[in-house]
Amino acid sequence: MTVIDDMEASTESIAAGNGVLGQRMLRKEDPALLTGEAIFTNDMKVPGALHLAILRSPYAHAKILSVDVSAALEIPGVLHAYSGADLADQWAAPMPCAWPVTDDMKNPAHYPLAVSKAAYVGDGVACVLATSDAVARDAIEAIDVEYDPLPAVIDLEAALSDEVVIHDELGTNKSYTWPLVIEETEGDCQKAMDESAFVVKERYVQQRLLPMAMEPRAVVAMPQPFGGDMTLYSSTQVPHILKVMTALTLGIPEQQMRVVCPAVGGGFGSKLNVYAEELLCVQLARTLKVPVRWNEERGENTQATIHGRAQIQDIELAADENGKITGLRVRLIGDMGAYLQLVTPGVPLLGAFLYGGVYEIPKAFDFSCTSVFTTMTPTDAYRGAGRPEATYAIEHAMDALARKMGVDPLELRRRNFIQPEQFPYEAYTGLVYDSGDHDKAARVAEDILGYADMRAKQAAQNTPDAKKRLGIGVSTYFEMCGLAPSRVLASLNYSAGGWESATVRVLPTNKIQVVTGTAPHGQGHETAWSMIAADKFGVDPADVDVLHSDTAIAPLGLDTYGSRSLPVGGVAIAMACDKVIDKARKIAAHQMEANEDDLEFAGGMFRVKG
Amino acid sequence: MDVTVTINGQEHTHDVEPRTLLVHYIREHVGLTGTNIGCDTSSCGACSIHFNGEAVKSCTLLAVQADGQQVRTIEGMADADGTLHPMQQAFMENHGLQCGYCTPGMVMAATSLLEENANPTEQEVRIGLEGNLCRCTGYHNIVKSVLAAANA
Repeated sequence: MTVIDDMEASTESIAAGNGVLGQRMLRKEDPALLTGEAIFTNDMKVPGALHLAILRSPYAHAKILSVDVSAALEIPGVLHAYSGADLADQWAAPMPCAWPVTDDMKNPAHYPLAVSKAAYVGDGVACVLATSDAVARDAIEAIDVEYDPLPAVIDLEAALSDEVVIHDELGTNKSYTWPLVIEETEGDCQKAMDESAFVVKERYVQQRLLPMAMEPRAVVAMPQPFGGDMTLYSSTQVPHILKVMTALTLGIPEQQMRVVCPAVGGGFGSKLNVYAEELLCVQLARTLKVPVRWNEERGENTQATIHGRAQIQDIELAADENGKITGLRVRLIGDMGAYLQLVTPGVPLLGAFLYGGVYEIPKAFDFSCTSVFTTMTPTDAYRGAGRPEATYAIEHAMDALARKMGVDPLELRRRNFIQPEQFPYEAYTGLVYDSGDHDKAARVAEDILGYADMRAKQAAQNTPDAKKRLGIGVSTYFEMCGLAPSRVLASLNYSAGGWESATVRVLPTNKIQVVTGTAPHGQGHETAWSMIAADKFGVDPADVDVLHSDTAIAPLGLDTYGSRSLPVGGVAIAMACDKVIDKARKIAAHQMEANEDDLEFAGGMFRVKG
Repeated sequence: MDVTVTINGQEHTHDVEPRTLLVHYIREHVGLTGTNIGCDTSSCGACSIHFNGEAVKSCTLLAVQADGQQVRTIEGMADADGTLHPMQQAFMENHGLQCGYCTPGMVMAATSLLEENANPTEQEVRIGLEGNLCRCTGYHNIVKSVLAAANA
């Protein structure tokens, strides 16, 4: 049970704003979503729009020998059909990867449609524009593609052997090796492995998975042919990043690109990207001077939208005779898929800082990640992006160590917890943790479960001939999120920087307007952000309007992913509110002929104290 | 071919291709886009509507099968004055939605469930909604919403 469960929802709007944070409020977003009034991208009615459909490779790896679109063009309602080669001169730059994790990272040129080789099932090879979605989808079946199938590369270690090289121009399937180097500790990890009482060595395989937002992706590109402006509507988490990247990839001046996200039906990281279909719609709309739209079918979503996870984790944990950890070594092989999408290479690295979990890990830490191309859908950020994988590995390794030592897994963890008096604690990675009391949290969990009793029950029940055995799992979870501008992000070459913006205005009718650079897709930012401003100004949250997800209305921002919106975007709003209130205080003091220090601000009003 | 369907009390007649699915008819011909498409494979239930009073996935029917029939969509649930249907109100009060994409289908399936069983147990609600997928909520608050609506 969470605290929220105990709170009654208020059906009335909360009147006095100061103190509204922490109260339970009904969501502003809900009425439109509950009545069908909300407009998702594919709900948009766009007169004259042409529908894009994409023919996708049925092969994981194949040379494209020829593409014949002539039969598709004969179908009534089909206006245009293109192969990848037909559009090869349309791109000012390859599709973007914004996270060059090393200077020598290999990144194959990736275009919205493949030209000479299909590198995964779902790789686009040709497309059609027609007067309806149904006609466009019929027509792609009339396109004749001659393939020369090549061996698929799906095993990560086989990929590293370079027996079959996917991108000829790279000469290797390896994209990069990224070590996390802890200064002046060279050799310490090996020493711990050699000299410690206990060492466990485990291999875990993080399977690929499909992010599967309920709303498949959808795109509408609306050109203004006579001014050159372009509006891209997309089911995306990242309108601002998409705006910049579309401008760069297509050679459109940034000021002429506008990106709007209507209602977005979930993302889970899969809509944190710049996709081929977005670029195709914009470029075709731009050249043909008509609106172009595309909506993803679920089957396409499984092939053409990024996948998550996909790593092999080799982890070695050394401990002294008491189970105290003395060394930790992690070797990852990251599966990039066929190409690097927006932040593909960075995902495994985000975990590098979390392999130590909540434990006191000495600086005898040795981490390295080698990432490799395969003939599968590109991977990218998915829910936690690299960090849940790290937690999985350290927690399983702790269990393995507990088994080896014959120690209770919770007891082993407890012996390694960073202690409350050690905070602020500088971890093995150089990160400083401000606070924590892991033992207290563990005791709460123990009490809820009745851990000792449950262990006793388990011992009684799990006799050798027991038909039904009782299992008890123990895990801690430690997270690093809300990435903001920091030396850690800079050290990882994360190009976007991690900042966020907020603009707060008090309108002439005493309503508050909040403009945010975050881009919600189910999180309820309109409600939460209005509560932040209402709390600051002491007004009704209903009187706060939150504007977002349109780069013409909210021009600055870095969008919503990685649990960053509240800790970065929400804080920006709070800080902007403070600035407005400070400014208002000066004006109020002047008008009231009072000293600023003699004014109090509550309920949206300045009053002279006393 | 011509089909005439009564949707939310209003009669609509359109000339459709025989292969047109009911969900596409509702969205594209009638223009009611509250009914969402999530899977194209009758798996997710986002396109659930009421067909002659019973919840169905509108991607499993052809528009021609709806000729002369009664359809109710999410747009027909709230009163004209804006008062939400008790099920919609319950979803709102119990935080039964996040991104809202599955929500119209959930509301339609849940109201149909209560028509059949006015006082379901939690288990009956979970089984009754097994044809509707949600990716955000973990279902907990959806089930709570339906139980609340049953008690409203």
